[in-house]
Amino acid sequence: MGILDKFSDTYEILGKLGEGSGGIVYKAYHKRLKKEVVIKEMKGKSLSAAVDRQEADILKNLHHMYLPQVFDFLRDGDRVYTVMSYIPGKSFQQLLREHYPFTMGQLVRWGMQLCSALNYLHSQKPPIIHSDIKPANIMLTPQGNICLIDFNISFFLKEGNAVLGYTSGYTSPEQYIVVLDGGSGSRVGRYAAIDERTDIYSVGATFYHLATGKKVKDYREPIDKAYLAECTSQAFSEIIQKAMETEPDKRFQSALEMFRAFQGLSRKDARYRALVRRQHLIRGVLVAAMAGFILLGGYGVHTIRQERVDRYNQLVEEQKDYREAGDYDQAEKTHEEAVKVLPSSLESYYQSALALYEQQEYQACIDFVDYDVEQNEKLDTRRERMGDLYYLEAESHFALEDYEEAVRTFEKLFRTGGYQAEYYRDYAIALAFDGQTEKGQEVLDEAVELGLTEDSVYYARGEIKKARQEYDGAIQDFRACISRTDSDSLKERAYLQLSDIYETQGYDQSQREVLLEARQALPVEHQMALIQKLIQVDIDLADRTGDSASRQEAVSLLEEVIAQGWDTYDTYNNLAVLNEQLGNLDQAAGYLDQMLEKYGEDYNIYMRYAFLEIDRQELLPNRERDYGTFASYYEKASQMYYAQLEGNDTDPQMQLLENAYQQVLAGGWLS
Amino acid sequence: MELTVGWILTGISVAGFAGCLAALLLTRRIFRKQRERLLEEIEGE
Repeated sequence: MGILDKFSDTYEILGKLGEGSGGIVYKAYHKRLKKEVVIKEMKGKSLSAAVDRQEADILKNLHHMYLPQVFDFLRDGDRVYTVMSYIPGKSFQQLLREHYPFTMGQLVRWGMQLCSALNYLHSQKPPIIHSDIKPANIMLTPQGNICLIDFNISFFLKEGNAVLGYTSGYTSPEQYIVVLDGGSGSRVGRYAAIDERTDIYSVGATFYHLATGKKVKDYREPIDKAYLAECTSQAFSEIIQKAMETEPDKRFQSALEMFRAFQGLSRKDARYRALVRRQHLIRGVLVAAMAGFILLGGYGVHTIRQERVDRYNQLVEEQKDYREAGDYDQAEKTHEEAVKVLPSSLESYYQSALALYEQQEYQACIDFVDYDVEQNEKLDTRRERMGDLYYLEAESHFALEDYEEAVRTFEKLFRTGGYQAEYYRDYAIALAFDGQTEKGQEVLDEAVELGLTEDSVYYARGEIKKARQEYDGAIQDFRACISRTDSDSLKERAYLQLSDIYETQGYDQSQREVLLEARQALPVEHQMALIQKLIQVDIDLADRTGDSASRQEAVSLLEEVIAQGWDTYDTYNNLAVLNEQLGNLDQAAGYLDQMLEKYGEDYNIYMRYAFLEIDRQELLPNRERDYGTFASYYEKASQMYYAQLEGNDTDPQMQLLENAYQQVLAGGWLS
Repeated sequence: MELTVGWILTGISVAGFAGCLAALLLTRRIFRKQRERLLEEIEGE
């Protein structure tokens, strides 16, 4: 036992494990590493030199969980011993003898472990071929894992000169032939040289034995495929069959490939495949459902937009109805609601501007278009409706007799792209009134080319002639317009122009007649301006002639204004004054009460009350007169008047009241 | 804000999409465990 003595400082021999092909195998204790090891003699001549070579270091550096660790090589003369880690447990050969019932799960798991170890060995540079895989060389550790022992180190260390053995039933055909030929491992016979596929065959043969309990004699004996499939599964059987192909090219080409085949085994199970198919189906349904919900969401968003537009349009219609009915407060509320629904649309703003224009609140209309519309960032002012809004603004400027601004606004309108013939007509009129009559005529001609109708042409010509003070010609043109037109708006405007001409000429009777004619010719919604004019004509007539019939007519007309909902402060003020003039003092007072209630206190109302009170007192005999109430009305009126006087015009009526008060005071009527 | 058909449809689609997405994410874990469990069962046979 020379080796034992020589290395007794490092190793303590614990016993003999057995005899391998190379010699005795000892179990020893490594004193320095403090672990059990196996010392085994290696077969082969001229190995001594090989031990000193780099290959020995490669073997010592092999680290894999399913391979024993090579610690050292010991040399004693010609003999070389390997020192490896001791692997506890039983070999598969022992388990076979004990008729261990290998389950397919175990075979698959151990097969993967074995292929993992082989892949590691085959991946070394140069590759390490085990060449002796068999149940005896596979240990099952207490942890339930395998350990591949006894790989042919001499085969690795000596290129071409290795000692190759064979174990019947597990050796590959090419190794079998090489061994029986007695040649080197690199000799090419009928089959390829010894390579990784040699080990693959041995793995297949080993696992065939483990699965079936049967060992083939050699490669020439066919395996019992049906029985193998019966013991394991068809898929497992196919793996073993492929590994044990006689032709190396038909086997798994690498341990990794065989590893993957084992790995995929469970995955080939019909139940697993059915589960995967079911899972894919469920996922597919979920993805399809998600896509469906996205589409539904898109449709939902589209529907929301459409609903907003519908709601907006409904509100604009309501706003229009309120406006046409004269309920401007409600129209304004509806406008506020509409712009919240669709802030970018101009429609509701147009209705509001139109409402202001109809109420003759021209400055408010101008301010609305300039500030609320033009400077509103939310609005898209490039839309066609903007032209209509500019038109209202231009007409408002015109109504306020600011013809220069009217012309400027018309030009803004045309820059927006509003090419309606009527707009050209009124632009022509504005130009004429702004003193640009020739340009106005040119624009009118352009309007005719754009399709301006005959009635509008006559109207425009009438305006231009009126601007030139060609009143007879203007009257003819307006009359021609009235007789030709179907448009109540245009007819109303023509009548109002006729009224203005007569007013300018001082023909108040003619003016009155034309306004009465207009009332007959037009529906009530187009009579507001006409009635206002008629009221003024009656008042002027009455003032000039003292005719009470005219005053009475004015009162009736004013009452009609209230009935139509067109009443303003001036409506009640005029009624109070007219009734006072007609001697209807109680009625006059009633209107003043209404003014107070609707519009609040102001000096004018108290001034009127004061005048009424004087009238009342003058109806009484002197001894019954009491100007106390008059005095209090006067005081109130005076106080309020002087409080607001700064920045406002003086009221000649207040001067009259002052004179009346002084007279009452001087007459000693006030104590 | 009035609950219109558009909002109902949009709400349903958002809820549905979120639900499907949550279910899809959940399947990653659940399905993996199902496969592992079945593989273990097959390998143990």
